[in-house]
Amino acid sequence: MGTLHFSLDPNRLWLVIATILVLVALLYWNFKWVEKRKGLFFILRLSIYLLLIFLLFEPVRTIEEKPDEEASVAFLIDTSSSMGVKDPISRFSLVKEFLKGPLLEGLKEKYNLLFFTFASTFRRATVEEILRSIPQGKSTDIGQALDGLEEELRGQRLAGIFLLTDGAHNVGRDPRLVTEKIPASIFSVGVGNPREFKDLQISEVQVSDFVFKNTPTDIGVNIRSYGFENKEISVILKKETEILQTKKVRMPEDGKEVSLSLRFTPRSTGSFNYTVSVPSYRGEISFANNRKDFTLQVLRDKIRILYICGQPSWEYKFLRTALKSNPSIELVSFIILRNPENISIVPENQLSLIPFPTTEIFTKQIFNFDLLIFENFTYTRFGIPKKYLENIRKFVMETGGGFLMIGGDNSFARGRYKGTPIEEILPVEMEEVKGNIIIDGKFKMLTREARHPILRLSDNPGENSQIWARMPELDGCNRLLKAKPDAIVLGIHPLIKNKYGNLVILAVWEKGKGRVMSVASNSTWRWSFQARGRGGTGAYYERFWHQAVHWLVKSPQLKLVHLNTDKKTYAKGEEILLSIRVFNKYYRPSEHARVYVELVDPSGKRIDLGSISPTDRRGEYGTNYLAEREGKYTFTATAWEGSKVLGRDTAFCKVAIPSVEWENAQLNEPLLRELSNLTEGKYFHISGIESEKIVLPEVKEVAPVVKRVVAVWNNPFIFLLLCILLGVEWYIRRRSGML
Amino acid sequence: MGQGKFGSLLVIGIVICNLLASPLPAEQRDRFVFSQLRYKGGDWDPYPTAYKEILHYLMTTTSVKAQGARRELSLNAPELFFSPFLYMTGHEEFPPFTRQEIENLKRYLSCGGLLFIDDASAGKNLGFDKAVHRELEKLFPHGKLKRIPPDHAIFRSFYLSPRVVGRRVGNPYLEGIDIDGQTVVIYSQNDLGGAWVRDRLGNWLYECVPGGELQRLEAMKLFLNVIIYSLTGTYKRDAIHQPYIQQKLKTRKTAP
Repeated sequence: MGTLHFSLDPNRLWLVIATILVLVALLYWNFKWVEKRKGLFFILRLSIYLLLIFLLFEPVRTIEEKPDEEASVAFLIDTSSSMGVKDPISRFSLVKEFLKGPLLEGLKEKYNLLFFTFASTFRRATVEEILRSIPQGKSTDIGQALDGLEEELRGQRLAGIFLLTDGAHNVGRDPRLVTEKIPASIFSVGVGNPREFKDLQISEVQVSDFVFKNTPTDIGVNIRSYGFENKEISVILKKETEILQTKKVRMPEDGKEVSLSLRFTPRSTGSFNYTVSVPSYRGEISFANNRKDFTLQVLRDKIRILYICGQPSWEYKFLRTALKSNPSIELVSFIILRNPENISIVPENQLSLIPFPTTEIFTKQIFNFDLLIFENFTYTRFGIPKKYLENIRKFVMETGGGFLMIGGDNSFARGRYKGTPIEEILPVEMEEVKGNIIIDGKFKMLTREARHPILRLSDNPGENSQIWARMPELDGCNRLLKAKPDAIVLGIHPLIKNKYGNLVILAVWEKGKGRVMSVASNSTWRWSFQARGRGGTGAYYERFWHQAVHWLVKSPQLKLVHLNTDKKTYAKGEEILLSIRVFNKYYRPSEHARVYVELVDPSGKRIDLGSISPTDRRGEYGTNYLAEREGKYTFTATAWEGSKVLGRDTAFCKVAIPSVEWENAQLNEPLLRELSNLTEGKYFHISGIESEKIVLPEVKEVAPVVKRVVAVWNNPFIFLLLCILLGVEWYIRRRSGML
Repeated sequence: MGQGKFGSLLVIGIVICNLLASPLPAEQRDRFVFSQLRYKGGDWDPYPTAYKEILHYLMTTTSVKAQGARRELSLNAPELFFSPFLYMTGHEEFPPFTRQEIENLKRYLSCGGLLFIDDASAGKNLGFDKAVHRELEKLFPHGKLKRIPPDHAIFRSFYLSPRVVGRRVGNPYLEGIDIDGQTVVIYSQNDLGGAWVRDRLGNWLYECVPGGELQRLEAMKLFLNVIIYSLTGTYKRDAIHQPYIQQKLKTRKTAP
């Protein structure tokens, strides 16, 4: 039934007293004027008023549940994957045997048996369910299981807790800290074979998320073993299927870790899967922990630039200084200090000149660079055959290299590049050689497409325009015919035009796999020297050229398509969220692109996800994919604008079962003993528990626990009683002719 | 005044204007321009024709294209920042530069310009040398002239290790001041300019003492190296050149 008490807020007591006084006055006034049946009316009205006063004090009833007379014994059964280990008999089959054994029969007579299972989650179960189940839990959280048990059985008379597990706790709170609130003794039952335990584990791999191309990289590996003491083990490092390194290591005593370092030098940029593994030996309890996979992003170390300059010039000096000031650039340059027609009045050994290695450069070395710059350089004077220029074309179109031609007397048509493979890759068409194709005179280049990353000297468009407006004049330029159809014109001459429009000064385009830029004047050094001379800064000059270099070598930050997954590792059955950002060739978010995503799943099967819808953010597209298989997934997004591919990007992710369950799957007797000791219980091994005499301690009285608080004043029957009393008075008055 | 007189006056006026105007058009494209500092007092131009010989030699022996005319500049001239190479010479002491001139020169040197100072008096602690030290002290209060080591890029920019000589040998070394790894002031006390002067018949005007014509050749080589250094910076310090340079130096040492 519970106990009754009042929950009136003491601060409102004055209100109740005032109400009582009013009701007493009303009572006196009412019956002053009543002539018939005074006694009856008095009793009715008094009852009503008393009931009202009672309700004003907000009575509540507290219902306490008394514990069952019979005490319970709880069984916590570990159903995590490690309970499926056979050492040599399946651990879970031993548990099932235990549940069918005589010990439980004996306990049933005296106690109420309650069963629960746990792995990564905790829940109530029946013996029949447990006997039918397979241990598949992805992790073992004994702490959570004890927590859950305490909450579930709070207030009940608990005689003891049997914890059947291998003790391989691997996630969540330390179970020893939870034992403080456990109201009963824990009888830990260790399941697993501590003696015939064999396992070789890669316990840890230490590596950064990214490394640099051509830079030796060290990976730290920790290995733990059981049953392999003093044995020499081979450790193998692989990239995808390629073996990078093999190292032998001698294992220490059981349970101890040995550390070693594996070194390799990545030779190409991109995202790759690596594996560290040890051999699998017969009898090991788990092979899953014999390897660890990880993904590494290999970034380019430095941008390698080959700069060939036809004569010493201020353009060379300032551009060289700007490029060399960037630590991510490695610059190799050749300046033609002397032409064939120049005379020498001293022997060769008094000159610091070196031979210009044309064959070496144009047949081999060129492919080791990311960007080739020609400034005021003509190939004709140095016996360079046209076929070497074909290599430059291949370098750009087939290997994705960048090419930059800077103007001067020996550039473009004056350099005899018309009709050569260089003309094919340039974004501009050249005038014929005859005629005045070098234009004298200063001019301020007008920018076009100021959002292009090469011209973006400030992220604020207004400020960017002002910066360009203040740039010093250039001095002279090559006369170019026009930009080619797919080229992007970034700068023009403000005054001089031909039939195609203003003369092109700066143009870029994508050609094959590479990118090309043409600058019709070799006087951009003025943007530094003169700008600073006027009290300005040379920083914009440097920024312009750094951005040009990064664009030409396709630095990742300047891609037009960016594909990302929300995580790098997923569990099986989890959804992979893909987001794609698309920019058009002017580097504005592209809202009208058609985006397609294709993936290669772990089995190598190609799956077409089709067209991807835009999100409500400009230039962004997104989709999900349910990862049902374990392994590496490779997603490729391609964005189209019209009939042209804007760009492509690739992202990798991995779907793996959480490996925590297999990192340390041996029977953890020390933990189980400690849990029992902390709760005045006892530890048994499952193989010998039947023969043990288990005495459960006397159950302590459990303090009653408040279960429910019921508001009496809020009860509809009280309201009904009030209505009845009022109704009876009304009826009597009416019958008495008083209404 | 008759028409004839007016016409003569007009012609004279036009000639005077042309004489007063800078002989060099402002457009230079990618040409090297020999800029010489015109300063107040002293004698800023002891060898008015030397630059012609220098430029002729430059264009004959190297791939450099140069403007034929010299640009004469004061430190307040707007064209100061049209040419990152500035030549200064003289025999005599000169008045201090103004504060604005010092500011302009400081900015010139820190922006990528190079000042080549050539003491034509070839004498230590004489008028010009004293004035140079005085002005450099104002330009670089915390930096002093230091000897330029023999393996500096100046000595490898075109000719290999030319001797540090001029018309005379005041100091057998160059001195310099660096900013951010680049030498921005080069100081010679050997009257390099004097080695270039010819008379009207094309003969060398001044004898080079004590080494004669061989010394003159070394002076010419050094001057050329300074110009090429101003155009190429530390190019010759790049790793790709070192094996060749070391090989040539070895050959020179062992040559009979």
